Amino acid sequence: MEADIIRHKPAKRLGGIFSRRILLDICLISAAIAFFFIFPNNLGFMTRVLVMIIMVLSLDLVLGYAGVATLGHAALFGSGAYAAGIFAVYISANPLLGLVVGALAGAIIAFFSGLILMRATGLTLLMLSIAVAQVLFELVNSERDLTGGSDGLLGIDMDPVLGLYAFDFYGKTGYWYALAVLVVVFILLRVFVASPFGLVARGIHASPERMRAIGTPVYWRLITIYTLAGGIAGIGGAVSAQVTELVSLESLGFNLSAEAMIMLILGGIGRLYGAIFGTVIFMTVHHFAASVDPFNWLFVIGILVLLVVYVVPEGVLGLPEKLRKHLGMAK
Amino acid sequence: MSTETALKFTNVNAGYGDTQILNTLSFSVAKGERLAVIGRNGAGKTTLLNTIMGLTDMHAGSIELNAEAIETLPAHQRSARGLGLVPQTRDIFASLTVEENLLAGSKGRADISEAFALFPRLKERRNNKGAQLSGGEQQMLSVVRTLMGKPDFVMLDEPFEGLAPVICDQLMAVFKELADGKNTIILVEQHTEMALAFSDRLLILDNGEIAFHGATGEVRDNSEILDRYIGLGVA
Repeated sequence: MEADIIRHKPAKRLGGIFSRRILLDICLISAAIAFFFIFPNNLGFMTRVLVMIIMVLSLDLVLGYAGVATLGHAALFGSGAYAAGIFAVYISANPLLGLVVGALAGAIIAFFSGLILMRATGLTLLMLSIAVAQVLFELVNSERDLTGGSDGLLGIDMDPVLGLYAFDFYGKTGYWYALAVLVVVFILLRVFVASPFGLVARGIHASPERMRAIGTPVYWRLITIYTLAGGIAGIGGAVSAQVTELVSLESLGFNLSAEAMIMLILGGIGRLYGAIFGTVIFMTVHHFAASVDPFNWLFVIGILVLLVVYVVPEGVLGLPEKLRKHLGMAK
Repeated sequence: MSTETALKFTNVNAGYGDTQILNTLSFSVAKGERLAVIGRNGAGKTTLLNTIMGLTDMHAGSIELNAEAIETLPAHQRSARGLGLVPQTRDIFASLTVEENLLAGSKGRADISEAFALFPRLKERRNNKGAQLSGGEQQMLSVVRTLMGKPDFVMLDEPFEGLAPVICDQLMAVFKELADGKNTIILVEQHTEMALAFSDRLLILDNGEIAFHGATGEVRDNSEILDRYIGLGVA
């Protein structure tokens, strides 16, 4: 027995992991609240960061947990943005109803495109996902009367949130609104990834064939996960439309999909927090580097991604573990 | 062992893509039977199990499970009909803990305490990740993860490979318990002696064809068959 069974350290207590996570959650929310007061002139930028975090969290569900690599996530985000924007212009400017419409739009597009996408893998999947986003891009571009085409969807004038908090010029309401939606989305995702369904997603990521053999209808599970991710990306798009009161074609663009993937890889895939840290780092570097050198700022991002891929492939979230191991070896 | 047929292969050709590995296989397995499959490397043993599970490409023939044709069903539907495969590669989800591995296989319904009752060692490791387990522990986990789906037809693909004798004994005890509980079992095994000791019927594959199919006793009494197809006799 000794020859075969390795003596292990005792497994970490789950209670310890949970309390550490709660501590991190409190720190993150405190930081978000503090930033509101520390950087009152950057609320627009910080709100965009919160919106992008929602989108990257959605991508993490698909890529990080289920292992489905797509480069067309903007299709889901943009669908939510346009649906919520059009809904606000023509039907109701109630923000919460708009969120539901955005979520439904993202989920519906994800479901129907997923019927094709989830049958593919690897390069084929990447190409098909780009194609879906491009088809939507061109469709929205051609329907100028409804969507505003390349000028973007204008004329959105949102009602106050819950009838109480009007969206203001400085973006104060927008910031709190985006933060509240993000917190709700994060909690929902946390519950989902810890559920048996979340475990199935990770099992599919590790070995789709094995999951099939132990009774999981992999294709339909992937469609369910992609649809859920579509709903979340749609919520992100809806918040974006509501707080900026504008939807542009870029919300369906390839750049957005690619940037979301870079943000996730920077932060670390399959851990939810990676989406938060990766987005904050990417957008902050973008914000400051682009203001210093508007033409070559991507160079800085390029170096960052190279560093992460070569030094900490797990993303910046893997840094503490890496450092701990490094210091442990140095002793 | 009952006389009722659990599994019936009729003229099955199967393989991966256009490559055919199993050639016109016809045989049947009775309910409650313990069938051992042996053969040289590359004979098609793993392909046979994968074909039963629906993980290969069928080129011709039919497969019936409890008198129902299953050759067109995807793997997850075969699993729902009571088939369970413990793969040679074990395929433990390395980033999931022992408990999470079991829950991922149970769809949240089965009681994992049953799994821990079979292999108490896994209970001690319940919060360890798959990648942190020894080979023996991984095999135990692979076995009980398959059993979480409550199969009544269990296929074991070289479960003793690379394991210490004491772990093999533990696993064998569980397999015998399963067989005594009226499960039908197919054991693919390189250790011929273990295969003969476990089974009541034997199937020898050679180049994707059946070289021998009959009662294990016949081979025990006639080691010339093993000499011919496996290249070794039984002492």
